[in-house]
Amino acid sequence: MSKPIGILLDPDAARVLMRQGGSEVVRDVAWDPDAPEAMVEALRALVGAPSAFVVIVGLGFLEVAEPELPPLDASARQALLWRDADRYFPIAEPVAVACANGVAMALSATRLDTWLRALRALAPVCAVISSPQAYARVLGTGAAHVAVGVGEIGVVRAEHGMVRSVRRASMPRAGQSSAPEVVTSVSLQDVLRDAPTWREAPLSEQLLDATLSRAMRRDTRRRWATSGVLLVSALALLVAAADHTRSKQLATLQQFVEVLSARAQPAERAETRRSRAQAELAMLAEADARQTAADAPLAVLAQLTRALPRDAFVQRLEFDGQQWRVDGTADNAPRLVPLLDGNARFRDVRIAAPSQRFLDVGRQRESFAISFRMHTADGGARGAP
Amino acid sequence: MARPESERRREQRVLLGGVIITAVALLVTYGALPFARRWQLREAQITGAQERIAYLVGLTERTASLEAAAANDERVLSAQTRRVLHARSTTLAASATQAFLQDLADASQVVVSRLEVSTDDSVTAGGTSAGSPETAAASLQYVPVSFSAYGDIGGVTSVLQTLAGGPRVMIVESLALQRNAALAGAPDVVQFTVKLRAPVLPQ
Repeated sequence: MSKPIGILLDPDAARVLMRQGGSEVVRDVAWDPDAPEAMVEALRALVGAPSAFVVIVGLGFLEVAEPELPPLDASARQALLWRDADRYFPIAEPVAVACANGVAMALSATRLDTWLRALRALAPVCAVISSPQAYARVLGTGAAHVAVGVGEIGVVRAEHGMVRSVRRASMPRAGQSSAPEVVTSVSLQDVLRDAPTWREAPLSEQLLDATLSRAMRRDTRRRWATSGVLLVSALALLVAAADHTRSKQLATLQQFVEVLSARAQPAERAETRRSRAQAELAMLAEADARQTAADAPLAVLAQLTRALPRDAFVQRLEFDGQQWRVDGTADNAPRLVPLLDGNARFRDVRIAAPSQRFLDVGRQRESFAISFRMHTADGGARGAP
Repeated sequence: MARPESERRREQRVLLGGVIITAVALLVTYGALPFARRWQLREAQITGAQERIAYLVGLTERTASLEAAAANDERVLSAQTRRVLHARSTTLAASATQAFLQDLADASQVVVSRLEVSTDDSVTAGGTSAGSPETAAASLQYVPVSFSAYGDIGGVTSVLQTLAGGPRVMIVESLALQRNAALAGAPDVVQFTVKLRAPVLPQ
């Protein structure tokens, strides 16, 4: 979108900046401030259809005052001037006001509305300012002459781009000496070139009447709302597009998986056969290892048979997966523990219950309960914590 | 009495804020969160499908070597005298295990007093390969068995010997041997209880 163009409305002409043959020139369009439609048609022929206008109202149309206002913010000052315009300006109707640093400039709201209505036929108006404000921004700090009209000259004093004072005076006649004043020369080209920067100026700084200010505020809100809705819509569309794309990708991948699955069926069958065979081989290897392990039940039975003395009688033998326990009777139970402990195949030999002495058919016997573990092939104890 | 303009505007702002917050909450609850969940699920499906594709491509490329490896392993297995039980379901596996243990008891001349084969407690062992549902069938399952019987020590030894090295693989988890004091006049009779795990390969 192209930048808005600035149009300076002076009493004698409307002025716009145009690019001609590689250089910029200021073109004057004659106009009647009471009937601006002809000027707009001339502008249409000259600049076509710009994206928007920044309207600069010339000092010749403005009433300038330096009212004593309470310390309020810019919007409240502007509202005060709208309400009490007849106190500060010789205008007996609603006014459009711009206030900067204690300097207030006003013109008839009806007149401004007529101009803006005409200009809107060509392009929307995005900002309305006074020529002293436009000159002050270009000037920075200092003073500059501003065109007012036939026989009059304006002097704008500025500080850091803000209007400090505005004065209108008669043009000195030939031979008449004027008061010496140091002014900086500010070209109209620079002022018009700088005009688009006012596009985002706060409404309280612009030359507006109450109705126009409300309308522009509404426009601004509407633009923001439209932009927000468009942004949300764009994001929603983006997300929906991404969602659709990923769904399509998934569908494509799933189709590919189906094709590959059909193609890989022989390989999958072979893989299943191999996995089953390997699982079974691993289990057989584990079973073989258990069969030959030191704590295999048959091996433990054999070891106990060899290790226990002939007078020992086993009543119960128990294996819980980690530890063995043997209960029984013997002529001399206490000697069984050192006997088993001395055997290299038994580990962690312990007495599991108290021994009792009793007579069995006139023969003295003792009960025993012994727990133990077996040495494994790697030297550790099976079931050891 | 007419309300001041500022109060009316404040009320309007509060109402508007409430409407916006409600709309955002509804949008998040019924729009954004379900969408995010659906998105996450689909991303997981896409990742899964990509992994599956990679697996299947690799598998297809290795068809010949897999066939050869499977044939070799099966040849080695066919030469074994012991085999793991193969069954279509754990119920059938339990039935086969029960029959095997009854036959074993008969052959070892011990009397079975209690034989419990549980199919509900069967445990799956071994992992499954990524993206390969068929290999899940290859993982072993274990059927727990509790077997009590009595007989002479020779019969008990025969049972234990067959469990350790017989034609079916059985893993002894615990064992209790006890002289049967109730059988007066038969001091050599031993009562034993053995808890087993019978590995089963689902078909």
